[in-house]
Amino acid sequence: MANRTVIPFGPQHPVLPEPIHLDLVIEDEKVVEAVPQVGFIHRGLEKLVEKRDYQTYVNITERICGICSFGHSLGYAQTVEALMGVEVPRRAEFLRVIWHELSRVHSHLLWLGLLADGFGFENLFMQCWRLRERVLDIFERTTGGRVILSACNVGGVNQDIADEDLRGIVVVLDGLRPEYSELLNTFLYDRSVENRLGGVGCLSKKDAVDLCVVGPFARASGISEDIRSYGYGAYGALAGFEPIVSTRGDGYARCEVRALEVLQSIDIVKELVDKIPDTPIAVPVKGAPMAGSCAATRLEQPRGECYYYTRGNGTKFLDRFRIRTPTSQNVAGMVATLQGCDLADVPLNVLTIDPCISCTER
Amino acid sequence: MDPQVFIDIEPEQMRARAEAYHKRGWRFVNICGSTVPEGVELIYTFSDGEPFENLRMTVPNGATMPSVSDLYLNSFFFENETHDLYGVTFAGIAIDFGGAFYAVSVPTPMNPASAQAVNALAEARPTTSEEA
Repeated sequence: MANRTVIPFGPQHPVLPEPIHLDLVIEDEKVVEAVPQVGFIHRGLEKLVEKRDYQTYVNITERICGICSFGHSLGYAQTVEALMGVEVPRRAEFLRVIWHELSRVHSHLLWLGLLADGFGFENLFMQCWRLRERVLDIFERTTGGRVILSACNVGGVNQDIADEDLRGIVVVLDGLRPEYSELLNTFLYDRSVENRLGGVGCLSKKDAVDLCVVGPFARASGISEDIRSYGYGAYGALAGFEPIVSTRGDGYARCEVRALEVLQSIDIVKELVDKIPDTPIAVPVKGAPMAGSCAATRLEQPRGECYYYTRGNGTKFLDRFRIRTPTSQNVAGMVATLQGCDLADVPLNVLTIDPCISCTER
Repeated sequence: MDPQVFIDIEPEQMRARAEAYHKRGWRFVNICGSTVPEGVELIYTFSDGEPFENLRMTVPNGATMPSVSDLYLNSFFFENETHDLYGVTFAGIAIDFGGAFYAVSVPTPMNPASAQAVNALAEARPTTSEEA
């Protein structure tokens, strides 16, 4: 019988961008059990909602994470709007989705770069991050910020994008598309990528359903679920939306789904730019949420479904704000992919679920 | 926007409700704790694609709830979190960190009125002889 060894993995590890710890129980070179632990950098940002009024707190939500920053401000704003019965102008809904989809493009390009770095393809890493800069340039030109956009408010958005700038976004994306297609070709058809990711960290559709995984991680295991397909907000204006799904369930499938979602998001932005209506961009929101009122909403973040909950108490300060991030939902699935894998595949497996511990430790 | 479905139930009904959702193939989404004057309000959320329901109940401080991690393994994350931040105990968590899930400097920081936090403060307080 093989000897069992417990190897502590993380929270500081060269391939882990953020602090998560795993106790890996190893038999020879195979992982037989993995026990995850987070909680090293818990920041108590949910608690801070008691000390900031509901309008100001949107700035805190943007700082929960440096990658999904705009998405969190959008998720918070739409939940408070549901709490107070605020109807957002149509143009604001379009602008929100445009920025949110651009955030998905930059998040996926960032992840694809990290993945390439993880399997030693340094040039691919650099090319992904080079293209990502163009998206950050769009953010800077339209909002003034590259990471923290501060564009979303309760009641709408606080800055418009002029028509010529919207056309400029389309020009940038049209220029980015052929260059990205070359990278996509490498990710999907290069033999070295397929050899490294194919068959690694498999999660069957049944396990994905049982473990309730979300986002590209779930879609790579054949679950066709994406909050965007319900048509909330400006997504309802799209001619059609079909989630990108793969049935392989391995690391390659997770790469494939995210890589194709970049093109899908570019198409969404272009379609919304074509259809954006000319309305005001915000409505004034006054007063306070009623005591005992509560609301819960979901948003498809780059890493998957994110759940937001708020409860009012009759003052400008909310009683409770809750975020359930996609990573906290995907930890059990990640552990399942680790069981039975080679020790050498652990870093790559962790990477393929695209964990965001910063969001999880809000 | 998601439909706002909040269903008020008694804590004793939670387990049976969770089993019913599991049987119908619904997905577990979240457990959210929050402090209320009577103790801790718990919201269990389940989803079946677009349909999306929240079960809401109030438990006294220091209460014990049955775990649902045998039905939905991923709930271990939220049960450990709710234990560490609010002092609600979950019996039979599949992966139980026993209070060491979050490295926080005070017990149950989101629920300062919980029995656990009050006891910790009492233990930290110097005794009369020490004060003398």
